[in-house]
Amino acid sequence: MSDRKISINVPVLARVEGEGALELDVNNSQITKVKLNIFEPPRFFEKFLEGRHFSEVPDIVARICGICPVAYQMSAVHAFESLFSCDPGPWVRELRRLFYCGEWIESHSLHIHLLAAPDFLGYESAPAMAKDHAEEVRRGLTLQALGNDILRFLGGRSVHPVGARVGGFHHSPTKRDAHILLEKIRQTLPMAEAMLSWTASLALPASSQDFSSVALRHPDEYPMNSGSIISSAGLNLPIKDFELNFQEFHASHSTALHCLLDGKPYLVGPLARLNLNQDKLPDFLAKAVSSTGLSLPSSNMFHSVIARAIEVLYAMYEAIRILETYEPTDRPYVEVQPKAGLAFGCTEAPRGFLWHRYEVDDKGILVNARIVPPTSQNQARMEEDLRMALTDFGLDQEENKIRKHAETVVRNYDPCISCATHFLDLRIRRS
Amino acid sequence: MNKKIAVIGLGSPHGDDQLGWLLIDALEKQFSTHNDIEFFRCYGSHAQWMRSYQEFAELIFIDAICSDGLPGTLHQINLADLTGLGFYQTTSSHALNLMESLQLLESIYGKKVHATVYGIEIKASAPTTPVSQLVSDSIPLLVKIISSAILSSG
Repeated sequence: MSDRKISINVPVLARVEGEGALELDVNNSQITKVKLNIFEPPRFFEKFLEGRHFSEVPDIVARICGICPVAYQMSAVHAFESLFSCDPGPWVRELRRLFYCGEWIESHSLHIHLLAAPDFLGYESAPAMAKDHAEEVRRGLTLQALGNDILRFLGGRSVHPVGARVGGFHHSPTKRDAHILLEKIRQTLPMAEAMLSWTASLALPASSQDFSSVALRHPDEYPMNSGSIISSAGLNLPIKDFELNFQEFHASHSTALHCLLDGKPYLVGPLARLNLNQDKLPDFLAKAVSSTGLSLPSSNMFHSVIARAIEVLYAMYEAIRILETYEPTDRPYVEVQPKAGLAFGCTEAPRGFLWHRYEVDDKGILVNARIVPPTSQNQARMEEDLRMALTDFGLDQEENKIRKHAETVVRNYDPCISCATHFLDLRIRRS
Repeated sequence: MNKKIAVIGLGSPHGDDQLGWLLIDALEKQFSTHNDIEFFRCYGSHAQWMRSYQEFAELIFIDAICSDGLPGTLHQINLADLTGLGFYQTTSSHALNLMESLQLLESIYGKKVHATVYGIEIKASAPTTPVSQLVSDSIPLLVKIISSAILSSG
């Protein structure tokens, strides 16, 4: 029995997304309590949206996250179009898929090369890793910039994109710009293929945990903008029924709400998507996945880094497919007529599905809003994972090693918090 | 001017934190005929200017600062003077911050580019608010000051 009293405090300066704090209660070398505190920006935006016209919502929700604005915009526009019985048509549908490809590519590439890889290669930081793996880091930056190029193609700019609107897009890109982008993606494709091989070769810890994967499922495609919500435990429901099946509650130690399915934590994100939709990958990509040795479905959260690489490669091929047949249009959007009711939208952000619900009056003014981001859905799962992973790791180890392992575990989820070296304020109370 | 300069506006769409972008808008017009100056806007991610790092001999960053200073105060920070502070841990899951980005690039390319930050004090900005009158009124003077700095670094 250990009677160590340990307190690890790693100060985190939170200018933007926020901080992460982890508290552990350890009794007789057993973890009796795990509290992961996450600051969650979307919660504050829900109030800002009340009283706004629906047409303002895409621009406002894009501000929730500076790196993942597309996800928030897409969940919002799909929600209103569904309520207003608006079908923007196949041109918009395809370009929204392209828009999402850009976001997946830039988000996943940055995470893989600069946030996750240092952990698995034994480096303290990305710059330290870059001295020995300059080519790989350059690759990550190149892929991330390519994702931003796709966002700029459709959003007008990669920062705070303004191109999307309810009903479609504000403008139709030129065929010349589409061709330039297409060639850029084609030239960068070998990098994404190399990235998949590289991530599959990383020395990832062996781990197996019992959890439910939850993601969207579409009959015809790997899910991005639409589908029903399914789980590995057999759940299959329309997105409007999310609230009837998923329980959200406020945990006292965190500003983020926790989500449970049937009273239990669950996983959303790239690994969950892949676990549930591997059959929707194109055959050639399925073969590439198989050649990495990755067996799906996977219960090893450390395989999330490979799942992200697979999704980057998928997004690149999907972007090529869409751009190869792209034609500009003089009707990039359709007009919508608001009506009163509840609007539901759910799309697959890089970190997992992002669910929106808006109550709208007959003038299109928002009465209230609810936004459930993937990070809060993963909060309970992260705590459950930490409990298991740190117990397996050994609680009698040096606190610095415990904290680093905890950070690696949390980083698998790529949550919307501080997420690189030394981001966790770790406090262990032992009794 | 015979060397390439990157001028990067850091910001967000929240209130006065848009200042970096607004200054870039104005400076782009001012230097529209200068092919040796490239302008960028960043919101969290530095990816766009990072991929052209090797082309630049000088980096100028413009950002709003929220500290205890008087709003409107202009700070000029030579990043080379901030030595010995070690690697800055990122505060975001989505991107590296400025110092991390520069350290990363130095590691990859073995090249250190002179970098300066012009920080302008603002009041705290709430989400979805517009730019304040104080900041709007200060833009012409700030453009003049930073333009002189750009020309003198050439």
